[in-house]
Amino acid sequence: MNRLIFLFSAVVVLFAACKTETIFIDSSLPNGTFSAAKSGTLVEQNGTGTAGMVELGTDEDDVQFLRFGSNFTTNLGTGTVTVYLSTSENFVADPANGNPDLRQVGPISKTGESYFKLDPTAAAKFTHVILWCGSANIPFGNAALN
Amino acid sequence: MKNTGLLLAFVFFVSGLTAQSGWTREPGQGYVKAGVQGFASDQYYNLAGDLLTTSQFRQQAVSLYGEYGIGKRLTVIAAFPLLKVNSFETTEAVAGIGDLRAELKYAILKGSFPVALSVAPELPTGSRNNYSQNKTTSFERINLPTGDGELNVWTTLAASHSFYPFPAYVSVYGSFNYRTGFNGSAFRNQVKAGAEIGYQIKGKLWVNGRLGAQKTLGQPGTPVDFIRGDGTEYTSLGFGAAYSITKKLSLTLEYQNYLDLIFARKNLYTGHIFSAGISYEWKRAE
Repeated sequence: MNRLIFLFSAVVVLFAACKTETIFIDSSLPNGTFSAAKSGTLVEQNGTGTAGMVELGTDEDDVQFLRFGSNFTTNLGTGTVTVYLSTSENFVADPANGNPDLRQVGPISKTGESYFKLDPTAAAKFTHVILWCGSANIPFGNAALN
Repeated sequence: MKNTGLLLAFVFFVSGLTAQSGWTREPGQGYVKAGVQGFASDQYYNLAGDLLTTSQFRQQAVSLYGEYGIGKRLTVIAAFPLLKVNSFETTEAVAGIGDLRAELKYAILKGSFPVALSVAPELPTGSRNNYSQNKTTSFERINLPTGDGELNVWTTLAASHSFYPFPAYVSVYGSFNYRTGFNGSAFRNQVKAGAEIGYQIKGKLWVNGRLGAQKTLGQPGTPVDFIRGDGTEYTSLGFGAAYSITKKLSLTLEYQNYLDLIFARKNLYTGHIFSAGISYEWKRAE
């Protein structure tokens, strides 16, 4: 019996010694401080209430992100609003040639601050951010990145 | 519902193309009509009045409409979209019932120059949010509600005149739509006015022409809930025909479109609206 107690205690001590603190890292958010390289102000289109600041920059690991500021608003009650990087303020789709003037970033699900991780890094040719309703094919707003 | 043409401007719903008149039903008299309507357009006027070419929006609707005289001066009216099927060409179709319009109409003047006042609340019985899945992009969907989610009240003053024995009539009306809001968004009130002339051919076929115009009152909020018709303005032009199969039964055909004649189009899909129906009318309770 004493041997069993000793063995159980040894196992408990062994597990206690191996216990480590688990830290979850959300890779969709910047690690450390986000530094903006370019920024712009969203211009509303089609009465969607789109407004706010967008920034293109990197975190402390040099990973690139697109940031929507805490003042970002748009009408999300209409359905999905998708974020694109574009070579101009106009949404120019050319799927037959791989949409060279667009890069889909992803759907935006809330107003206020949001980050989109850009992997691979966005090409320098993308000068604008466009908010786009893909089902109706109408723009909700755009911002020039300067 | 808010427009008698396209219900929600962006999400648009073809509702009953029924006109307003100064006539009321005598006690026990009634009229019912079942109709189907169809609409498709890729021409959208945004809130600023700029025309955009979008994906094609489509709507089909089945509706019921009825009038019944409950007193010498009182008529009850109901218009109920039984089914609305909405889609873009890029999305799957979504369906639902529409908003029920219940109306009480009071005859202020009767005789050769009837004048009537009606109050018509529109109840939010339709689907307030109805998301349609994009056919090609899995994360894309768009809200195509079949009701606007609000309780609004139309108040209408209408006058008519029959040129009997010449088989023709004319009606004019003015309406005020008191709107409330949905989900924190306050909708602006609207005014609407219109006229209709009708003429009977060989005792069997009534034909009519209609002109209407709607204006939104007040300044827009931010953001404007445009999918629920806030800010919708237009001038409408329509034509109709009703052919009597029997003394009580008629077939109806109607057409409507929009233009910029009185109020320019804003927050509206514009295009041809076709409807067909069958109506039954009786002179006393049977």
